[in-house]
Amino acid sequence: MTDARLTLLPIPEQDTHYNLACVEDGERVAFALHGVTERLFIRQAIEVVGDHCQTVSYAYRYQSGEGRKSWLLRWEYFRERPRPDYEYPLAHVHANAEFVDPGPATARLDKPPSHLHIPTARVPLELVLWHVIAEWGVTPKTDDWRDLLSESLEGFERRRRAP
Amino acid sequence: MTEDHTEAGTPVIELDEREYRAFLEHEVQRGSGLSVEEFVRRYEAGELDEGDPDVSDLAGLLWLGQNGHRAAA
Repeated sequence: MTDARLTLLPIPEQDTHYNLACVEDGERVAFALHGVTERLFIRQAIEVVGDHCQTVSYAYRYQSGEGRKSWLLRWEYFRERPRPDYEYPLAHVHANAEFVDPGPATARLDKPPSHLHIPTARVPLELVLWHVIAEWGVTPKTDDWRDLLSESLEGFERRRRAP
Repeated sequence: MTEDHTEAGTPVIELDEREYRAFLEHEVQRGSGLSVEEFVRRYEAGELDEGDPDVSDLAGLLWLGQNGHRAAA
């Protein structure tokens, strides 16, 4: 679905901590996707714990172009609250959308709908990739993408259930 | 800065502490118009818009609140 590669950035003086993103010319960028003009931005913070990697936080953005403000959907997660009074679900999704029929409930909102932190479970990157291929018309690089993503998802579920 | 690859072919960019701080400063400036120090101060004071995609992304990039991290300390 892309020719781009994600880059690992080890955090100096933190032997087990890494950031992961697509980096070009020293900047994190959203990468191009086959078959569409949209782009996908991926950022993960990863800690190596024992013999596996643990996701500390992530931000995945499906966006209509290169610009960060062109996002359509965002999946975000923090393992711990980023500050003590953070009041949102640690795993959530944002949709850059408006309510078709805003009623009195939405009139009480002190923010646009796109700023709502809609709760989810932690979303593995594989499901985001699955979503953009299956529903947004992104072209996979191989015909067996379902098997590849399913296999990778099984690993995610094993790690999630591990004590 | 050194560039390498994992066995799986994933690029690895190793930055020394000064280079890594410069990378963070650039990314935070680009995303929020603030220095890392100012971003962290304003984020921890609840002064930044949590619905802004850059705010959430940069808080994660800086590992704020994760594993005891405060910015790039």
